[in-house]
Amino acid sequence: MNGYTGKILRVNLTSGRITRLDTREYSPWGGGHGLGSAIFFDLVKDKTIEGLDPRNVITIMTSPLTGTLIPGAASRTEMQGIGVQSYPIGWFTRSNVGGRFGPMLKFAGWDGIVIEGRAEKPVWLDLRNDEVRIEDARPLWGLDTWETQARIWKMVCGESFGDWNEVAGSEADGRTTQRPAVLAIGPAGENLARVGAVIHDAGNAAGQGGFGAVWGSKNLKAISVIGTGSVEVSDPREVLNARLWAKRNYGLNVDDPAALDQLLETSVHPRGTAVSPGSMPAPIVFWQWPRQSRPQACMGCPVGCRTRNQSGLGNESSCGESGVYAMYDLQKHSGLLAKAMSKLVGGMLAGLPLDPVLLLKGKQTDAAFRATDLLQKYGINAFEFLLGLLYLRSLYQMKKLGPGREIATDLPFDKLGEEELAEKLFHAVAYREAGLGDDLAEGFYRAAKKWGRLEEDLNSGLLRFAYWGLPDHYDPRFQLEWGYGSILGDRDINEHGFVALFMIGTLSQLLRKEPIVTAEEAAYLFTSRMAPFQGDLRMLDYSTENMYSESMVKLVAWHRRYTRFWKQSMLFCDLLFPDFINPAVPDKRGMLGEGEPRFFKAVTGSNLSFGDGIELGRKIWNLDNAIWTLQGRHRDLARFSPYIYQTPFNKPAYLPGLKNGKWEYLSVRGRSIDEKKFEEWKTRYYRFEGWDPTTGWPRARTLESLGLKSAADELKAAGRIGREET
Amino acid sequence: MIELTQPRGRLREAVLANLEFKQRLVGSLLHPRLGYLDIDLYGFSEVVGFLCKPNPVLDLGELQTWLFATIGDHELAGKVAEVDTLDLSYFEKAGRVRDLLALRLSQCLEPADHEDLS
Repeated sequence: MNGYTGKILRVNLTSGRITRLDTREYSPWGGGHGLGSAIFFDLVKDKTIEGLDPRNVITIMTSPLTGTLIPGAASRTEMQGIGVQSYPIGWFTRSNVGGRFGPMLKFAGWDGIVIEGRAEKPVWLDLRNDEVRIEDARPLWGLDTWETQARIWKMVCGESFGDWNEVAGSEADGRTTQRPAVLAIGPAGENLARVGAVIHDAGNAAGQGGFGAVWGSKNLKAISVIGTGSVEVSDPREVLNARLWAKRNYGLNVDDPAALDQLLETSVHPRGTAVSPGSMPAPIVFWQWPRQSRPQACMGCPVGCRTRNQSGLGNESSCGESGVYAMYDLQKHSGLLAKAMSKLVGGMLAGLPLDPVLLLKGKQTDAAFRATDLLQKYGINAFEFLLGLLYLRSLYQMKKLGPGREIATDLPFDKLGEEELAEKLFHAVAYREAGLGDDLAEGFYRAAKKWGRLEEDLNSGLLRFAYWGLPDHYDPRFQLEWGYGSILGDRDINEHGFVALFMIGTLSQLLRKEPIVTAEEAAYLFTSRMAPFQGDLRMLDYSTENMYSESMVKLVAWHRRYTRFWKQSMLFCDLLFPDFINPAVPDKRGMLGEGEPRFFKAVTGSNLSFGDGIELGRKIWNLDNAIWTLQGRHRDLARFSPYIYQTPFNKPAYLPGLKNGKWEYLSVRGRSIDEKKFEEWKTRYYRFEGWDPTTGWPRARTLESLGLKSAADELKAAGRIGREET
Repeated sequence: MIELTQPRGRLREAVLANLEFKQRLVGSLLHPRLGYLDIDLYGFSEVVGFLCKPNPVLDLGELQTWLFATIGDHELAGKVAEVDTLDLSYFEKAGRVRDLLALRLSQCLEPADHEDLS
């Protein structure tokens, strides 16, 4: 059991009973998502329950690689259960959080946590190595996520922060200088907002699915863990060697500025995006980097995709979280920019060098950072608000929203971009204040429905929520595997494995620079390692002619399998894996397919191959689909919002494709998804997976061949098993 | 050298005005984690601010129409059209357009605005 601690904590909040599951029973699923799905399937007898039902089970799982030195796989934690965010059904879903919770859980001796039932009064869980207590959380209820964590740190460590502390009251139980890792909900979760998130440290969020509300419904305020153990690995020398191998062969050499400059100047690649360990490490933030800041990374990660700032604002928030308010802040304060320009040039600008970018620096106010911090503190899903605020602003400008208007609110939307609006708006949502706050606590999709605007705004695309009532991300009309994977699953997949193709293709056109790899090279680089479908180059053909093809079926199937196992079960971070194209490698061939099993073997000693992992991903994907089917899934539900079918995508987008027999980065601007052809594609996909194409339900033969007989039996009993092909 | 006639009267007011929903321009930030993030632009200064961000994508044809019809700045629309015909990459063009718009914005500020920063 190298890599595993051997036990999973099981807490029934209704009875207060604390027991253990033997990890060995579930270890064939690998870890993370696989473990979570299998345990959920076993423990939840009625899968049709709603997310807020006390019978809902939450799993919080690590992987055997968690808490080790494996780069990009040491820190993440997978959370699953029936969610409350998606529409029309709150699907069994997943979210994922980085930071240091997972490693600390392993150091305390646990591979995961299973939460059942509902406590009578607010509680928090206090894990100190093997010792587990259900504590009274009434003094914490009502606190924001940061205050909650700080209180718990004090309760566990006392005031002597950073000193040696005895973890469980005696030196024999271990000592540490570390503070506990805490997952906590804020007021949004307590008030059962569907946009409620679970927060860890300053800016790590399990944001998708509405798990904050699920925790709130269980009266679970927080889980704290501190441990003094370590993770036993099969071959410690090889763990170190593998990490060094990855660094030397696939990591960007930041100590060689000349090579770095050359890389940035001579070719287009996904710079700064960290979709590969060889990309330029850089914080992934939308706001302007504060001058006094340093990179901050999850435990064990070599990249550091966010910052800690001297101002104390915006710490650890990255990606979409940092974009929620940044542009509005700049827009609101663009007067500062204009004034700065005119002062500099004294009204006689012509002929002088003008650099508005330089002028703009420093003009962003604290509002952008404070708004994001508020989301983290209230425990609100930032991604809903990234697109949601755009929608609210449109409604305000259309004079539909505001005082005395159709959507009545006294919130000062004329102050969008100022701290005042962010504070009032997010407070209203977190506390479900009557009116707009309560409406938005249900999520933007349900709010639009309540306002009678849903149909009109989904038709026009004003409300850019593409699937399952959830915000659009990479647009399905060009990034096909993203859209198709999301509508076949339960949520915005948020998996960036293939987006480098779009970025390389599009940036090379917009910059008029050579792409780091040609479209044909990309097709070979990617498909040659996509076992078991390797060799089908047309999996990378994103042309309109190929978008409903059997090859596109394989691309989506491979992606679902890869991510279900290697990413969500082994918990390799989406920012580093899959490493298809690596700018730091002469032939640009990243470590995909070689790195994952090498790391896995170093830790576990198992000879599981890359392809074995893909096949295990297929099994997990099938189990998930069985659960969705039991929840009420039918192929007729799997439809995009109307604008995806009706409105052409009208921005530059270039992806690899075949044109007259030659590979190039093709423009796919102006296309939409043809609904009829997409339904035909779904039929092909269901057949390929061995599911019933008339319903999308799994067939017994398929499930049994994967060792999922119990799932087949449950589907049969529910009358929802797919018909076998005659 | 960038040269634009000093704007006065209604044109100056239009450059500094906040616009209605139907008058807005929509830009998109190209970002590796999101694909495109749309941004509604409700005024001239918002367009300038948008063009200062990394990887701003704005249809230059739409921009010309917007400058001509919504803002009424025929001279600037023409200058943008000239830039659009140059043999440059999109981002190089966007940079030049940004400079043009920034110049126009600074021309439209009142002297009192200049003094605010003293």
